[in-house]
Amino acid sequence: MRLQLRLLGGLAIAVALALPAHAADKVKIGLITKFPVPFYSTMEEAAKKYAAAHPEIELVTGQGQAATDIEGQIALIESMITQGVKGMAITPVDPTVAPALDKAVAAGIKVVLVDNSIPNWKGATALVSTNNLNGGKIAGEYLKTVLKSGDKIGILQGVPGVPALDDRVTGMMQGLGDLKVDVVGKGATNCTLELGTSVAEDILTAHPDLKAIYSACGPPIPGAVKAISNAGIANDKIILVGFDACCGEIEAIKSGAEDASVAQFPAKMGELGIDTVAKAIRGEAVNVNVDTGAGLVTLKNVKDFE
Amino acid sequence: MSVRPTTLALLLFFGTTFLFFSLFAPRFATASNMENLMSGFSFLAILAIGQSFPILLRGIDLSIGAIVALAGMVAFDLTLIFHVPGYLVLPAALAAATLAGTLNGALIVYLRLQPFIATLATLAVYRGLVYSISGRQLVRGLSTTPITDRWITDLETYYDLGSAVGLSRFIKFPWFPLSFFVMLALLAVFQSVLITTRFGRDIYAVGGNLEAARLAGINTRRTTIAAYAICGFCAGIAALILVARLTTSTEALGTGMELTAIAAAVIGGVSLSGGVGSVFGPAIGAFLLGVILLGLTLLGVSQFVQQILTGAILLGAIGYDRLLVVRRQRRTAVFLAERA
Repeated sequence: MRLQLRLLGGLAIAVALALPAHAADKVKIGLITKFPVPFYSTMEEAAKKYAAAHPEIELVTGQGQAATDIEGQIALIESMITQGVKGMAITPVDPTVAPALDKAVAAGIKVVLVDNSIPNWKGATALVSTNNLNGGKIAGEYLKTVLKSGDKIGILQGVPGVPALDDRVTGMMQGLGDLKVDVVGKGATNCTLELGTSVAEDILTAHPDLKAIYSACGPPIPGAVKAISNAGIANDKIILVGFDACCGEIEAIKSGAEDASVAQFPAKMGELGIDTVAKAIRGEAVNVNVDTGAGLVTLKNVKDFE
Repeated sequence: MSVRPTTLALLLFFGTTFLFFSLFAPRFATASNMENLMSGFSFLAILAIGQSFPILLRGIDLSIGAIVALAGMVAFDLTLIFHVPGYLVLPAALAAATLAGTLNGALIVYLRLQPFIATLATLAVYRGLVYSISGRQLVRGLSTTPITDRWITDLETYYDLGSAVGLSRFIKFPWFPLSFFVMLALLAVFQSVLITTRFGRDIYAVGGNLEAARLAGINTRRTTIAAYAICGFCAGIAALILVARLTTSTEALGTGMELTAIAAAVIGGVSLSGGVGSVFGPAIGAFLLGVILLGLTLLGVSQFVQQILTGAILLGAIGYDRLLVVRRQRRTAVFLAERA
């Protein structure tokens, strides 16, 4: 009897060893990104690379169509639940996707928010993102080195009300520290080129002696560059600082039209996002706030960010 | 009526597509996916049912996406800013949507504007109005406050019909969302309006030949305004379903939905040349789009390819519609020639 048991146990161990890792049930993890721009493609690529290096993970991805595609993202969340994922990393397109995520949580799915948080939503296992306040501070600290007290600056906001974008402006002001600048103009760009151009034009028309423009996101920057040249102001007269180092900013920094930008690391978000989900599924303790860092891009180090 | 063969072809296409994805897309034929289909596309079917009326009149309503946002924002403001009870909010939001639709109709009738131009203009007007009355912009912190009024949130209710009829003992049966039954009710009402009432006959007459209808003594103006009002009303219903689903509203709610609804209506056999079609077809058209989108997502097809395929299907539907129109014209010509 004992021998039989021992044999049985030995057999079980042998079988367990003989079975290759992928034959065991793979853990299905979902990644939902907002919409097709290089930032989210980079994130998705990094997540796929992570999954390739971890054969026990099966990654399914989905992406919405636009910044306003809330229904599309909800459909993707529901589809992931149907596909039986054990956890998902998601860049929420809007706080209104929370009820759909509640369904996922109710189905026992671990939800990790990436890039953006959903204020007051309690269902998230963790938030993996750039600390936007710190990112903003980096921009503010840079501006502090190039501006004097009393200088006039203009701010191109992102989407007012979106905490991640508002934090970038708040952080920048904090980064300026005791330097007292005069914020003469401030306007919402919704992170678009079109509005970036017109808001920058409006500020420049009212204040031709402007010293600096700070943009809370990337796409308005080329618009601001155009507005500055349209106003007949020389490139080096206005300090232009952006956020994201995307959407034409790298080119603008290389040409000297833009002075600096705060880069986020989408690849880190993709990698750490999936990593956090996997850990949570295994029942390991995870950091509630995973910071993916931010760095200043200037002409000196722009090569590293291409 | 020449609706039948088209509807049959549509049902056949729907069945084939459904079968295809059931066989090849993992987890397509599951209760959970059917729930996704019903809750994610019933409101689109409602929009398509509404959109059928302008298209039956050889018109179009491009503003329904904005009307959705308008009705949604009215519900949002009344609930969260003014704390109006839900049983008053629902009719108020529907009234706003119906009024917006009526205005579309009035512009087309009294200013003799092309429906395309008139509703393109009101699309901008309504969307702008949404932004200016948006409680999310006016009151800080409201953008993250969910709507909790039971009258509104209960629109997002699921019914376990499977257990009720005892089917759940045999298979995992999907829970049916309330929005699906709302859609069925609207479908039944508007289909019978089209078939049995004088107003329904007037719609086909006006859409088939406006001048002939006028000469036959039909009040074409009233018919047109009513058609656009119905379209607005349906947009209002869809808006309330969406608001219940999101437990809030946004300024961008419904953006681009007018095009999907028009696509569903055309795929559903409503002729862009007016006078031909039903509201049954557009509802099927909406769910056909849903089956395709959900199926392709489960197959892991990227959303770009999904858009291309949706466009191709729309092109196919429009091409088929043109073919039928040309054939009808030829038949009429032959008929007239024989009589002469």
